[in-house]
Amino acid sequence: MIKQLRKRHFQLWAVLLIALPIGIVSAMRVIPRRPINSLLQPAKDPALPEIVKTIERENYTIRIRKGSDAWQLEWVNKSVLAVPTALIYKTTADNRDINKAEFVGRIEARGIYHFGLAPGSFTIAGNSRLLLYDFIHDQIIDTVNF
Amino acid sequence: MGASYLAVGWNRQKKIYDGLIAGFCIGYLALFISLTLIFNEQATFETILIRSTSTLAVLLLHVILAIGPLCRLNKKFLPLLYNRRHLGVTMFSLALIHGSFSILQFHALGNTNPLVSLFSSNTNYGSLPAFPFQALGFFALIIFFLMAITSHDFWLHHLSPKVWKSLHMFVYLAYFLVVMHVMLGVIQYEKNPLFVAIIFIGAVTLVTLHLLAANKERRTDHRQFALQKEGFVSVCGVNDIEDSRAKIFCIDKERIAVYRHENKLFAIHNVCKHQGGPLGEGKILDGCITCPWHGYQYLPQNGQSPPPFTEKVSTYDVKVVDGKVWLNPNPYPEGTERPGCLV
Repeated sequence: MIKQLRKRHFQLWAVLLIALPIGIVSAMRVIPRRPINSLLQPAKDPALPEIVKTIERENYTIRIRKGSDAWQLEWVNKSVLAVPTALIYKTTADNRDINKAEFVGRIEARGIYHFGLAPGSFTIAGNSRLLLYDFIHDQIIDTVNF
Repeated sequence: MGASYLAVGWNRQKKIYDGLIAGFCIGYLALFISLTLIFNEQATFETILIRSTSTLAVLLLHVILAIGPLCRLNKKFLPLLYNRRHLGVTMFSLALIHGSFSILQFHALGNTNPLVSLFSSNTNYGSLPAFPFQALGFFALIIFFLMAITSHDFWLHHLSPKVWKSLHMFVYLAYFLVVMHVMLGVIQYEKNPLFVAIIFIGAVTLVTLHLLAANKERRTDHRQFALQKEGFVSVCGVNDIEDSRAKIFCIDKERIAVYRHENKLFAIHNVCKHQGGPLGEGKILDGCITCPWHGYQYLPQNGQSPPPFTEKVSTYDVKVVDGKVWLNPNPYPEGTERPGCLV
């Protein structure tokens, strides 16, 4: 190599000596802290030992469970739901408006889910119901009366 | 170009070199695909292809950029330099596969032209975390493309070594674009710190090697020769130069190679006319000074390439007094016959 070319090589690598760390560190600083595709659904709690009530549907089973001092709604998808995701609301037996209902949790098309409940929930027959709501298409998919 | 013109003059070394490149690439791809299928059963064919070719291309790019300084630091690496352009074309081919399948996978399924989609689907050029990193890879690929299609000596002769070398120095910009393409792309989604570590170690290694090599060259350029007599400079002892080998001296900003051949000393300009290779780091083969980079040859007594080749370099006067080698740094016109000096 001629001297001029050697000098140009050196200058370029001197620039890279500064530019590369700046680029790498800058990119590392903006790496998202949370995984992009993490589920909104929290990690599944273990099932509580005692089953208070069970309702069987064609595609899913719903159980009310309780432990020493906590109650739990267990939702088991027996087959894949027709919607990718849905929200569960708790409300009174005569209501179908989700704005007047209490949000319980979110489920995906597959899987088993557990959500915390207030002690004594769904124990009085004919008093309460669950609404399964497809928020993508803004429609109630199913109503489960207790 | 005549009827006997051959685009590539294949020889044994080139065949071995290319065989090793092909073997390494096939082995790497086979290993990558096997491990992906074992540990990620849900990976699709397109994903495996995109990832395997990209990682291999990045690896080869690091090897290519390391060869130059390694050769300047240690002559044992010179065989790697001989056919480096084949390694470069291989790297470009892999990058092209990666880029093509990425565009097909991510931009060809809409109603917009995939190349338009590449630049219009994400226009967050002002945001670092959401920067359209694919555009960086695209521009790096364009540089590699220009380098690959001009890699043949046909273009070296037609563009002139100066223009050709300037064009090929854009590889450093391309390297930076590749690093940022990776850092703003896959690194933002992959949680494994190994990816960052590999890129970081690669960058540190390359910068260190290039700066070490530059420092070594700088020391050669700045060596002081105190003893001067009638235009001659005392450079070394006669026995410091091995037979069929040379020592390089930088006097008045010019590098001169002093060769010892058949008990005579000859001095020629150190820069090869082909790509500026260091003639003094080569050796004499079949009576010709042979450039260590690509094998261009010159006769020691006149600096001319043997017929039918026409390359010429300058020659210099050299003499021996009391076991010391004295060199006159004033060059003769390129190709001027000099008798050499008996040792």
